[in-house]
Amino acid sequence: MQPAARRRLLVVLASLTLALLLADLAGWAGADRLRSVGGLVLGPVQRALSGAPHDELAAVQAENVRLRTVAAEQQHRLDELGRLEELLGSGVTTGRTLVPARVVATDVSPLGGRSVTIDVGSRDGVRPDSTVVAADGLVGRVTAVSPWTADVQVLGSAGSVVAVRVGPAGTLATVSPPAAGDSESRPRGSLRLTGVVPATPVVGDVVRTLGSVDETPYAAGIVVGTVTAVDPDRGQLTRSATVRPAIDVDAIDVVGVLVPTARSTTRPTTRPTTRPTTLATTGPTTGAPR
Amino acid sequence: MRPTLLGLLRTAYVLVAALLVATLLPRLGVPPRWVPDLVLVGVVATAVLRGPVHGALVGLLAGWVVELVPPVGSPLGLTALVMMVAGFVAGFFRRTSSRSRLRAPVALLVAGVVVLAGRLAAAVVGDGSVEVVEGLWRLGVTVALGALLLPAFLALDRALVRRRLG
Repeated sequence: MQPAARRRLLVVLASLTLALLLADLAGWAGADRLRSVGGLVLGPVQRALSGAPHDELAAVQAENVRLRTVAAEQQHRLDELGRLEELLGSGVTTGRTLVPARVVATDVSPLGGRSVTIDVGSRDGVRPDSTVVAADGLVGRVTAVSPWTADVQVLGSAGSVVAVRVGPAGTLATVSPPAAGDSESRPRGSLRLTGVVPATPVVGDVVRTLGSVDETPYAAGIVVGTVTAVDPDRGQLTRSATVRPAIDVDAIDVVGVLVPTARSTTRPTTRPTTRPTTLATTGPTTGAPR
Repeated sequence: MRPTLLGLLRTAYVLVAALLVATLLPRLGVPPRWVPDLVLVGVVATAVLRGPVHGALVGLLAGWVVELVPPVGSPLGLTALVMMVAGFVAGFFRRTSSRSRLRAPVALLVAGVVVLAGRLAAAVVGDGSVEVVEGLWRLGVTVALGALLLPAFLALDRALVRRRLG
């Protein structure tokens, strides 16, 4: 070959290569086809060279991988079942009707809102403003419902306020996320308890939901958390305190959506038996009105 | 242009070398830093005997072979262009008058530096990552092996040309 012809060939080939390089960088589909040609032609040679395993060995290995996957899947289901059992056996759900659900997505908004998506929706009977509980206590309330999923506003997200009763006496208060203008610093993840009536909460008091009409948005008597610290008395009308939530908001998995059950029978009147009565009067009704 | 024995040998060498580097040596448990760039040795052997243009041409074609041996390079054609430049540069070491034994290994060293620089440049431009120490290590291994192989290749090439087979 003449030197001039050789130079021309080099230029042509180099230009072709450069064009192909740019085309590949630009995402041209033909480059992928060229790649597969390389694999098609030289792949068998490489397989032979590298001593690809015999068929039987390969089959056994594939079976092994499959079985390991199955075992992992079973373990996962067992874990899940355990969590569901825990939820169904816990005191939170005793005597209530609920739809079990799993958290399928979670979102922490930059504004402080924390919401999760669960895998049940309006087709499963979930309505907006239903109470969502976990084995340990209150998770939050349903804010939006689609046919197959529902969004839950988690306890402690911005804008979530729960009316509660504190301690054995059941003084009224609200639980909300720590606000920006809070006078006390609270540990990360804890909530702020603000009294509605002038009463002093005690460290260790259990905080339960007050409940609302028709059990929406919050059913009554569900554990919200425990009082961990009481803010000092600075002469304010009502005392506030720090509450540690009963659930771990970062690790919510199996939850239950409470189905509100309307009371259909009237509440019977009762006669106190502990105190000997001389007057035949009708005793007071027990319990707080729900 | 009819195929010559030398051309066939070169093609076979490049194919075998590319497969060795890509498949067999890693399969045999050779760590990546000990795998020499055998294809580059072949390209330099041709380039130091025949000059820049021929070297560039051989480098380009050999680079395409390397590119198409799976795992296929990405982006396609980059190795070919880098090898072309390496062959071109190695071709400048052609001296018909000098008989020094160091000429071919030095050409290989320079070509290896070109390949390494090409990889580095691609990594910088494409936001990729490259192991510089490992690259230098491979360069050293390639030059050491090339110093052994190149005299044999050059002697074979000259013998074939003398017998009008090249």
